[in-house]
Amino acid sequence: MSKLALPAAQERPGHRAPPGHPGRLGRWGWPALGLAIFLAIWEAVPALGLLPATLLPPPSILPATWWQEVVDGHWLAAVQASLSHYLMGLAIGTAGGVALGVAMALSPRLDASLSWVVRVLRPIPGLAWIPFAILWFGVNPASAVFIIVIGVFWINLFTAYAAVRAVEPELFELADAFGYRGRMAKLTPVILPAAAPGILAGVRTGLGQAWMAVIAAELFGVEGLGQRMMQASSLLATEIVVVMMLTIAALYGIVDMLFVALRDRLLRWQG
Amino acid sequence: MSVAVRIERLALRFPGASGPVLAGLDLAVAPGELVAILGASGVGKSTLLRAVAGLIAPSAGRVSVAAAPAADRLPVAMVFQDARLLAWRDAAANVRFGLERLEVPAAQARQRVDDSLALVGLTDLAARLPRQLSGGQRQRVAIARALAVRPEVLLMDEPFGALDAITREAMQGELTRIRQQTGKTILFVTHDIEEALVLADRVVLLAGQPAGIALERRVELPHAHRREHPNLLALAAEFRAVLGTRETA
Repeated sequence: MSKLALPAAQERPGHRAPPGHPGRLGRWGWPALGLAIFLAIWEAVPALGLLPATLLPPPSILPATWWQEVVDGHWLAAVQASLSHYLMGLAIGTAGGVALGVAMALSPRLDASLSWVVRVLRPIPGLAWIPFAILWFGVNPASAVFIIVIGVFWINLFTAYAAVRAVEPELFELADAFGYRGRMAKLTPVILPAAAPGILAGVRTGLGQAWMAVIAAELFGVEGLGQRMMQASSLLATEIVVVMMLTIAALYGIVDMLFVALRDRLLRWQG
Repeated sequence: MSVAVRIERLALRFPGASGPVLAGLDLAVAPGELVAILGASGVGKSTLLRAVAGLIAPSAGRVSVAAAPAADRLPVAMVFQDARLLAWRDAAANVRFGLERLEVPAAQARQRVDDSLALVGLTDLAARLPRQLSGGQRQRVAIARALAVRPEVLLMDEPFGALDAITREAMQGELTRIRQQTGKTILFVTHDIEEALVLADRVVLLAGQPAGIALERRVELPHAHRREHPNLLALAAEFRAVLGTRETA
């Protein structure tokens, strides 16, 4: 090595990793360290008597609590019920929102006809529909599905609308030039693939929104994770509440991860 | 004389514009002829091409393309300046785009895609996505896509305008070769006088407001050495003079 050559960056005394580089702990080290500190503080707060364990159950008791819930059959039943509400509500809300959003973007008449209806209904939070959900469907899975549908419908409507409106006019002209005259003729070969990145971004936002709606919808008594949380909190079994909260986080993480894998596969042309 | 494209008393108007961009335009293009439409930016060259493609309706006059009715081909096909490949389709699928609309049987479509890609020298890149192709390669795919629908007339709207000088010259050579192999009638829009004279059998200059044909010259020079031919320089000077006079006016 030439005498003029600088030593490798990591060998220099007092060297700091450049911004954006994870440094010596690497890609997994920092997140693991952060999680460990978070769990340690959480464990310490009830252990030091800063809060009673009933108000903040320590993380160390959660694995046993979870296992007990599994053995008792509560956990699996709640997960199955919530997942069925979630998937059904997500499917209906996403399909409906995307379909209407695409239709409004392509049809100026439909867009104009629904513009005031959308303005009136859009600001109403999904949870505000709970009284009507109970009146119309009763305290049963259909009302939970209804709340979830409302929760994801608007997100998908607006993102699909925006995504289709953002399709380059040049692509419409190209389609016309090759005989794809009319909006319906262009829909599957040009419009939907071109709008897919935007539409899928809306679907992903809906995945998270739907979990919020699931729990809110189940808190009023429909079987599922939300209902189990309410039962447990009324008995001050907060460790069960925390287990259910972490279950929701894990389920959302899994669903999101699977969706991202699917999205990346569908949009691999983007590179 | 048989005619591939006939334009009669054509007037075109942009939506919302006070006056027409083109008026009283007459032009007849013979089968197999390459006519270059030359003119300054905004004069209405691309608009004229869109009218021939049927993408916009004339406000007066008529455009007709002589094409025997056939379910498996389009009378005209267009090549745009910006290639306009569908980013989610590979090169072969982009070439297949028009054939899908024509519902050409799969085996026949595959053969046409292969033939068109071979004609533009991209057989080996059939599976590449547009983002994996260079500007020149993307434009070749766009030409192959247009040729695959077996048009009577190929409409080319400044197809090499976005390419660098070296690639543009190479593509001009490619187009001359493709034309010799296919015998296609071509309407070629450009604002580059040299490009028009190197490629065309006839050059038509559009100028004025509304635009009409300000100058029309047949280029009867051998394709092989046109670029260096002294007569080409003289013709270019003639077009430049008319263009300069009209622009100043």
